[in-house]
Amino acid sequence: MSDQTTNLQAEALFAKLGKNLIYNLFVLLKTVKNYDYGHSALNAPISRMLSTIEELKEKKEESSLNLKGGYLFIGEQRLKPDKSGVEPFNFIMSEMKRYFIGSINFLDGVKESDIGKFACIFGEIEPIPSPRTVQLFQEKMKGMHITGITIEEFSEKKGQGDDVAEEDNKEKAKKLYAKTLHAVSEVMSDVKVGQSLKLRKSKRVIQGMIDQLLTAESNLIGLTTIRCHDEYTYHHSVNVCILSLAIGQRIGLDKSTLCDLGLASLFHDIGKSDIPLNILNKPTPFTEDEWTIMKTHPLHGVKALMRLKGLDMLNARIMTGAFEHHINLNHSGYPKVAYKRDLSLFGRIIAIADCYDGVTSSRVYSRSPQTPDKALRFMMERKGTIYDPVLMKLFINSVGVYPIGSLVLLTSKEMAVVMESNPAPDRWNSPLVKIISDAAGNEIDGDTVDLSDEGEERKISKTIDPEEHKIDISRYFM
Amino acid sequence: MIEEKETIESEVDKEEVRSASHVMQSLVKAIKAFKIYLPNNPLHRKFFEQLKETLKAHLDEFGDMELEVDQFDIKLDGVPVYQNPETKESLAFKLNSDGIISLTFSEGIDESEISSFLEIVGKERPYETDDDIVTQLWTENLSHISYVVSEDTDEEFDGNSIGTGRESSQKQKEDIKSVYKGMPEAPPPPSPMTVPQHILSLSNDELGWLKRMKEFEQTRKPIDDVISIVTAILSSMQDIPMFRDFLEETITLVINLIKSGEVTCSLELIHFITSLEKNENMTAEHRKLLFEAKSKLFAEDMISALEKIVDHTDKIEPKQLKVIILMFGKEAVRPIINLLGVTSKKEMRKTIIEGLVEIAKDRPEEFIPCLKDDRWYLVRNAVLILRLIGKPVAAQEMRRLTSHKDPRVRKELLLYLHSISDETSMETTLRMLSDENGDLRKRALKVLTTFKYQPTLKKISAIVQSEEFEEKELVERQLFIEALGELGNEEALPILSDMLMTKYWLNKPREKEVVSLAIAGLRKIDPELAIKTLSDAKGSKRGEIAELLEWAIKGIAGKNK
Repeated sequence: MSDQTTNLQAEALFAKLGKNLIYNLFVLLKTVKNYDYGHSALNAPISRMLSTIEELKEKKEESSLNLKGGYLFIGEQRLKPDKSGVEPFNFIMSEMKRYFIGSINFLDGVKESDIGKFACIFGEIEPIPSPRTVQLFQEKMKGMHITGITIEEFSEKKGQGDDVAEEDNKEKAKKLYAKTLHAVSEVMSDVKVGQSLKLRKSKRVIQGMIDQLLTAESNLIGLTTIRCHDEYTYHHSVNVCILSLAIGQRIGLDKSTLCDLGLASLFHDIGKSDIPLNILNKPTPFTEDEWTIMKTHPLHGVKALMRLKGLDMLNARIMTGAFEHHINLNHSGYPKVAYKRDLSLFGRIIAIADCYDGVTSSRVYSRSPQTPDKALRFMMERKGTIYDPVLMKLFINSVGVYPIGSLVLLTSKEMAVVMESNPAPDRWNSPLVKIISDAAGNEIDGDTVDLSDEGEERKISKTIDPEEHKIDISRYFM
Repeated sequence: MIEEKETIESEVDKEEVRSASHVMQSLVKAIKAFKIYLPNNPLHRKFFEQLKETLKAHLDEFGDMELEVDQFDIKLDGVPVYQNPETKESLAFKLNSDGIISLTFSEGIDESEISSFLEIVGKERPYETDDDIVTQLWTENLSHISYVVSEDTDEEFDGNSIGTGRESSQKQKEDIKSVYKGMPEAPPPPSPMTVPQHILSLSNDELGWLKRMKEFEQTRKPIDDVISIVTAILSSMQDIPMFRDFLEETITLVINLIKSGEVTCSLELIHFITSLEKNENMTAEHRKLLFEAKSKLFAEDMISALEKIVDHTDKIEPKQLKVIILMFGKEAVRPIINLLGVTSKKEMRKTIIEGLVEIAKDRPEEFIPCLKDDRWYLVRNAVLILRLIGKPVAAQEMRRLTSHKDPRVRKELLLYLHSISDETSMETTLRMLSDENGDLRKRALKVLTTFKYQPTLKKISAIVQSEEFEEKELVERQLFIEALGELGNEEALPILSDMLMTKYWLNKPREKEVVSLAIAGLRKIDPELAIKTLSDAKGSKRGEIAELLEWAIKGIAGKNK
C-alpha cells in the first residue's frame, strides 16, 4: 500500500471522526437546552463527545474545531456534511457565529466535566456576535475551571477552499433571493385581488434564508444592492427582509422568532398593493395629495391583513410590522394616529432596515439614492429619536461601517466594492473588498482582499457614489 | 471466499431492509393511532411504544436509518420498505409532495422527538394554513431526525434573472473610468474611521436592555398590539371610507376573537366601539356608521361565535357573557334565546337567563315561540324568564303547557302561575289539579287555596268524591280535604259529614283514617259549624273513633276561644 493511499485513508478516518465530533456536539448542545449541568440526560452525549475527542487525539495531535469562511474544519481539514448531516453542521456553525467563536480547541487531558460545563455556558450568555461575547465566554470558562478546552475569537479570514464554498453560497443566495421575490410578488398579487393570504411558500423561503444567513450572511446582504426599478416594491421587500433578519440574528433571536421577523419584514409594505400604480411608480416628485395617499400604506397594510388572514400570532406580528415601520421611535412619523404603545421589537428592526434600503436604493419618489455610508450617517444622526439606538448599533455591526455594497477608493488608487464587513470592532474600517479597477481606472476582475490582513498596506481612502457614475454594484454579488 | 463474503453482505442488507420495513409499518400504525386516539388512550400509547422499540432496535443494530422518499415509495438503499399509491393515505406521498426526498432517523433519538415527528406528519392541514411538514420540522428542529428537501423546484428560479436592467459590461468599464477623470496623480490619503469604535460597541446597559426587550418580545401578546393598532386608527381616523372599512374589519375581528376564545380582548374592543361615539373626534357621519356597526356586531354572527365557546370551552366566564348579553340589548332577545337553547352548561344558562330577564323585561312576548319548542329545557327557561319578568303573557300557550310531557316544565309553569296569581293563571292552575304528578297536584292545590280561587271548590268536590281519590296518598288526600274545607266552608259540610258518618264495618282502621281526614277538613271551616257536625257524628261512633272526635271538638273549641 502506497503512502498516498495510507494518507487518504487516514484523512477519511479523521474526517469521519470530525463529523462525529460535530454531531455529538450538536446533540449535546441541544440536550443542554433542556437539562441542567449534572443531569443524567447529559451523561451519554458528554461521554460520546469525550470518546470522539480521544479518538481524534489518537489519530492526530490537533483536535480543534474551526469555523472559517462558512465551513467547519478539524484542524486544517475541511469537513463536508453528508446529505443527512447538514442540520448538525449548520447548527454548530450558527452557534459558533452567534457566540463569535472561531475555534474550539480540545486540549490533552480534557475531562467529561470540562465538556459538560462548556456546553452549559451556551445557555448562560446572550448570543450576540461580538468579541465581547467571546471574552465573556472565556471568563465563564475560567470561572468554571474548564482547563481542557479553549476557545478563540471568530475571524472572517478566508482559508483554503473557501472560494468553492463562496461560489456555492452565492448561488444558493441568488436562488433564494429569486424565490423570495417570487413569493412576495405572489402574495402581493393575492392581496390586490382580495384573495386570502397563504404564507406557506413564503415561510419556506424565509426558513431557507435564515439557514443561509446563519452560515453566509454577507452573500445575502450583498444581494440587497440589486437595483430593479420595475419591481422596486418587491425587491425592497426582500431587501428589508434580509436586513431585518441580519439584525434579528445579531440580537440572538431564536429560529422560530427569526422566521416570524422574516415574514413580518417581507410583508411590511403589503399595504402598497392598495396604492394606485401611477402614484407608486411615479418618476417625478409627489404632490402633497400624492404624499398623503402614499402615507396611508401602513393603514392599508393593516386593513388587508385584517381582511385577508385570520388573526393568529404570526399575522398579528406581520400587522404590527406593517403598521409601525414608519411611526418612528418618538411617534413623530406616520400614520398620525393615537398609538400609545412603545414600538415593538419587530417594528423597530423593520424601520431601520426599511429606511436603509429605501435611502440607498430608492429612485422612485424621485429621490436620489445615497451611498451606504451616507445612509448610515443619516440614520445615526436620528438614533434615539427616529431609530432605536441599540438596534442601530447592531445594524451597523451587521452591514459594517463601510456597509456591504459600498464602492470605495483605496489608497492604492484601486477601486473596490465592500463584500463583507469585518466583525472585529478594531478592524471595522478594514472590510473585505473586491478590487474592480486598477489604479488607472481600468476595470479588472480583481481579488477579494481582507484589508485587515497583516502586511496589507492598502486602506480605504473614501467612498464613491456609484449612482453618480452609474456604476452597477450588484453584479459583483451575482 | 469472495462469494461467501458477498452472500453475507447481501444477507445483512436483507436483514436491514426487513428491519426498516418493520419500522415503517410501526410508523404508519403510530401515525394512524395519533390521528384517531387521544394521548391517554391505551392504543395511542401501545402503537407509540411499538414504534419506539422497533426504531431503537433498528438503530442499535444498523446505525442511522437513511431513507429515500419517492412519490409513493420509501426506500432503503434503493429497496422499497414502504409502498402506498393511495394519495390520501400514503406517507411517502405526503412527505414527497411537501418536497422531502430523504429522511434520516439517527441513533439517540428520544421519545419527545418521535412524538413531535408523529404530530407533524400525522396532522391533517387545511390548504390555507401557513405550515407544511417541512416548515414544521424546521421549526421543531429535531436533533435526530433530519431531512433533505428537493431543490428541483429551484430550477425555475434562476438566480441570474434577478437584478434586471443591469448595464452592459462595456458601459460599466466606461463608467468606472469616469471616476478617474480629474483625479490627482498622487495616492489619496486614508480615510479617518467613519464612526468611532466606542459608539458602535454595546455597553452593559444596552446589552441588558436588549435582553429585556427580547424577553418582553417573547411574552408580548401580539393580539394586544393589534387591539392598540385598531383602536388607535379608529379613534383618530377622519377619512370616512377608511373609517368604515376599519370598523367593518374590527367587527369581524371581534367575532373572530370570540370564536378563538379571546373573550377579554374582544370585550375590550366591544367596549371601545360602544364608547367611541362619545369621542369628540367623531362626526355625525362617524356616529351613523358606528350605529350601523353596532347592529352588525350584535347579530347572528356573534351568537354563532358565542355558541362555539359557551358550551364547549372554558374560555368565557359567566360575568363576561352577561356583559356581552347586556350589550346586545333588547333588539337581540331572539338570538340570545337561541343561544340559551344550545347551551347546556347550567351556570351559563343561568347567566343567559339573568341577562335575558334584564334586556327583555319590556317585551316578554318574544318568549312565546319558545313555549312551543321541542327542547324541554328551553321551554322551562322561557317560563322561568317570564316569571322573573313578572308580566302575564300568552295565557293560551301556558294552558297548553299544563299537559307538557316533562314534569319540570309543568313545575316551572306552576311557579309562574303562582307568581302571576291573576284570574287567568288560577284558571290554568286549576287544570293542574288533575296532573299525573302528585307533587304538582299538591303544589297546584296550595296555590289555588292560597289565592282562595273559588272555582276550585267544584273541582275539588268532584275529585274527593271520585273513586280514584282513594288511591291517592294520605298526605295528598288530607290536603284536598283541607282545601275543600277552607274554600267551601258550609258548602263542604255535606261531603265532610258524609265522611264522618260512613261506617266501615270490617275495616276499622280505614274508618279511622276517613274520620281523621274529615276532621282535617272541618278544622278549616267555621268552628261552630265544625263543632256541631263533629258532635252530631260523635253519637254514632264508639271507642277509639269517638275519642278522636272528642279530641277534635276540644281542639277546635279551644282554638276558637
